[in-house]
Amino acid sequence: MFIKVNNNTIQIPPSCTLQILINQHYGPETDIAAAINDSVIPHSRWASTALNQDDHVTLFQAIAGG
Amino acid sequence: MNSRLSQQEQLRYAPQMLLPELGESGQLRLKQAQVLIVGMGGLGCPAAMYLAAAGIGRLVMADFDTIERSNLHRQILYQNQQIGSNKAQQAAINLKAMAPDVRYQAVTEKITEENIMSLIKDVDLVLDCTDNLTTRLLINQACVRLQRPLISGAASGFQGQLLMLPMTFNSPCYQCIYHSTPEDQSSCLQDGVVGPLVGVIGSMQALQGIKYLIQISQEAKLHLFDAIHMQWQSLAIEIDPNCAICATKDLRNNHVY
Repeated sequence: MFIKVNNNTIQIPPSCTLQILINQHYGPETDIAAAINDSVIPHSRWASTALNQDDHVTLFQAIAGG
Repeated sequence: MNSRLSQQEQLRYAPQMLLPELGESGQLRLKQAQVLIVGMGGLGCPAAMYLAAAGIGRLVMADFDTIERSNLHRQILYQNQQIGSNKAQQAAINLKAMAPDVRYQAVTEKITEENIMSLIKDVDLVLDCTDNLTTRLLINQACVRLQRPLISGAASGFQGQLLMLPMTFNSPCYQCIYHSTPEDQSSCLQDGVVGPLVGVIGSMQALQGIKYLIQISQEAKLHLFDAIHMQWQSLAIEIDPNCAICATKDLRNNHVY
């Protein structure tokens, strides 16, 4: 199935979770934050959050500057 | 005290009091409000200018740093001949000339675990305008403990972030969003930043602050700004049940602080 990650369309296997997606792209230790369809998914729910066809995933990081 | 507006105040704030959402009662709320701004750099300058101009009752500004030549392209409250002065003190002086009705307090010490609680407990709202994650985490933790609303702004490169955290019982905190923060702290000096971007985010902090204080928008929300494409994205946020800071709600009910 296809989803969008930061506006880029990618193909993922069925029953792919947010955790698997992020691990594959960023490795296990990550300081990434993630949202699906404009709702931030807390880190502790990544493993139990399945991705669905046409989901829009937003990945971002804290920025500190000011 | 502060239960009515003088004739001069009526004139000064008339344009914003015309807003049905604000009116005289909203203006009085602003006049009775006390706001702490931590960090008087690129974000803190416009945030403080707009809050002072809007008629906030008391503005506490914290910064231990001095004005440098390399600040002036984005820290628009300061003037060339003020290089070398402490930012919080100079901000209070410059703002006093612009908006004399506001009571200003300058805090020139560095924010630490020791002094942060006493600074936050006296105010109604905190604006995080700092330039480093260590202080951001410290401010977040103190706001959770004292249940003080926090409006966090950040900018680096062409990216900006604005985070409204009401810090009520069911509000997430900064670390519910960022469970782990980057080790390489991006700062304006490392990554570069254009002045108008911090101006946009700092102004949004002031705007959100005014809306919070007059009680028309108090929702937990994260806004991401992409300055290249001029696009905002607004994200719903929620508590992380495993959050290291706020998951144990006891912290919020602990009145020892």
